[in-house]
Amino acid sequence: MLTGAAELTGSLLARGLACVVSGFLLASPAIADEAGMALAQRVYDRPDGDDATSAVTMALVEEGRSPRLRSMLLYRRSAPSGEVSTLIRFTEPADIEGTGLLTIDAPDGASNQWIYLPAMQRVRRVDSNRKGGRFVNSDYYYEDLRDRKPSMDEHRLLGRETVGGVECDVLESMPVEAGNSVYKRRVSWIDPASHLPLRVDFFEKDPQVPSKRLLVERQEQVQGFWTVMDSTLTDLGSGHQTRLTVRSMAYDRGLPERLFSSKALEDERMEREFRP
Amino acid sequence: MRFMLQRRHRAVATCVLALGLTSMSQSHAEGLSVRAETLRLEVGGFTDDPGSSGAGLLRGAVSAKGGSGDLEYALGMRLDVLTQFGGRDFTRARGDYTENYLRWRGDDLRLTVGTQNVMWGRVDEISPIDRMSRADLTRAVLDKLPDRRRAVPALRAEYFGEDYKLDAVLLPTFDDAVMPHRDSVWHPVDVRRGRIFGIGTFPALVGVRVREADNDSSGGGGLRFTREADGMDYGLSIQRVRQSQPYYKLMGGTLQAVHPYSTTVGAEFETERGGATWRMEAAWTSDVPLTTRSFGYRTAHGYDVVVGAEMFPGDGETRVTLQLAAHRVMTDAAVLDRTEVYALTGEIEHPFALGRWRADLRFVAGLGKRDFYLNPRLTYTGIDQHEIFIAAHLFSGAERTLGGFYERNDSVSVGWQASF
Repeated sequence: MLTGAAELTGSLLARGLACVVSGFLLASPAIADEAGMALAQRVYDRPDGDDATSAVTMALVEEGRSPRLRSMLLYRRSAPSGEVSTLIRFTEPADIEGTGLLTIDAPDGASNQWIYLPAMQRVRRVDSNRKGGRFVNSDYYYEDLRDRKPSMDEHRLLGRETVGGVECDVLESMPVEAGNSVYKRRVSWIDPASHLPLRVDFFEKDPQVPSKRLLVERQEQVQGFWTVMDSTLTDLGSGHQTRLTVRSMAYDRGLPERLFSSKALEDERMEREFRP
Repeated sequence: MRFMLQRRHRAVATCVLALGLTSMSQSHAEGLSVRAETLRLEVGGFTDDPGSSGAGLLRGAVSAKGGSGDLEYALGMRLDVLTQFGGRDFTRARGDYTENYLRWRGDDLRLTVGTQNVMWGRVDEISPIDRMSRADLTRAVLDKLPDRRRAVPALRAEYFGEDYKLDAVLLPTFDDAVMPHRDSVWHPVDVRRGRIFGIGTFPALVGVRVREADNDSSGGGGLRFTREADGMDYGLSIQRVRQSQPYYKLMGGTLQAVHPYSTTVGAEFETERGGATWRMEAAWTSDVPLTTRSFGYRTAHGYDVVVGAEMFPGDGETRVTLQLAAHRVMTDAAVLDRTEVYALTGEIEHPFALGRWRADLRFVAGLGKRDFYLNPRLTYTGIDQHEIFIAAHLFSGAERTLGGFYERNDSVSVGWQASF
């Protein structure tokens, strides 16, 4: 599921990328434990409404340069059948304004994804299984935007550590099949109150040295749902950062199924009444 | 032609006036947005000798879009200033309409009246189904496909079903392709050397007069059905339209541009398999124009098939698109045109330095006949909304091919473009 940046720092990361580690266990072979699996499932099942709408600003930050800003609108709908639909619409800057990305994730894990490019005025199918590659030049890979079911990883609960004054459960997750992720492992620091990860370390080539780190700067309850409002993902090699700031967020607005169609994808005005 | 030119000038003047009134009087209207869609400045030099030493381009487009309730409108125009220097010099400034329409939208139906972009088909670069739009041939193939297409005057009805779409388009008036200046090195007729693109070189054509076509007729119309299914999309279409790009036939010592009507039946298909997105188009066309060896004009039916793939090797950031294209005209007559053309086209896009730079390579390679076009390009994208680039355009090929016709037009250019 491509759920978009706001979800990505909230429910998506909480669902899919939750993993924890503590230093002395880094070299240990991954052995799933029940407590770890249960925590990963709790994170995945965290209440996040039947639908969500958000306006998000993405800032690409590089030392010594002015940040590059992208604004987007995100719509997510979870159907009773288990199908999850997501629509992302870029609103700034002007050269990508109007670009839309629609993803339909079936309950069985199959995905269909289409992009709308205003310059071509065409809706085109794109590879929904793409994992690598940076999403709009950010530090997020396409995989980071997809739903990741707990069963795709082996999980271990490693203990408790404090992040930003919050004592978190530390969870390590490693892919069941090496090919199903660009990451060799992920370690997440989970807030027991919100079930949101406040920090995630991502390990790519070297399972001992993280390549990226996500830090949640601010989480809030919106309509009773815990939501990440501000977060920063840092490429630990280059220092490049992607900061996501939620400008507005609303849950359970009754988003209709027709909003997640190719008609809505190519017709920006259809979504206007649902903008946050 | 004069009538059409006057009509086009009136249309552009109307756009200018409407845009001005819109920006002055309705700048606070709900949903109204006025923007500069494209600004582009490019200058280049020819490394060979096509008869000029360099060329320049200044392009700008503005638009206003707004609406209320079920109604929506768009106003837009563009200005292209093209110059060529160091030989066959010219400078041409040309205004043109972009999208100027009134649209009504219901729950499942959308009706649009006015000039609008209509791009049918799915594949990149060569799309046999894309016959509704107006071609922009001012710089041959130097620009990518979307930049080689312009709006057309049309009545359009789009019906959106649960997982399908019906698109009906009527072109009440015909407007022909935007052609290069007659002295441009990109013009498909080279009267200095007696050459016609796709036909050959004939000394008898040196200095021949070229007449443009009479455009005073309907452009035709068509119907397209597309459907999204689980794991694949497909479509069928039928259209009877006048082709916007001219074909030149010899009439009494004059090359007369013609835009024949033809019926095109097309099928399209799109799916993702094996880590790639596959796109396919196939089309049958009733009347492909041809020139016999005695310079007679005739038409014959033909087929086009394009199979394309889009992939990201190694699941990385490099995007590769490839298209295998086949074109065949069914005739037993001895003709000057190529009746079988096979080509591999594609593009490689590689962003690097954290997305601040991009290296691209577009190419066309003929199969079975020597024909190459290479377009490497390095672009700085580190400033949002701006692109600064250096590009080369390299041609090589046999007689009657793209690369052969423009073989002397190798060039290197630098440019800037932006959207606001």
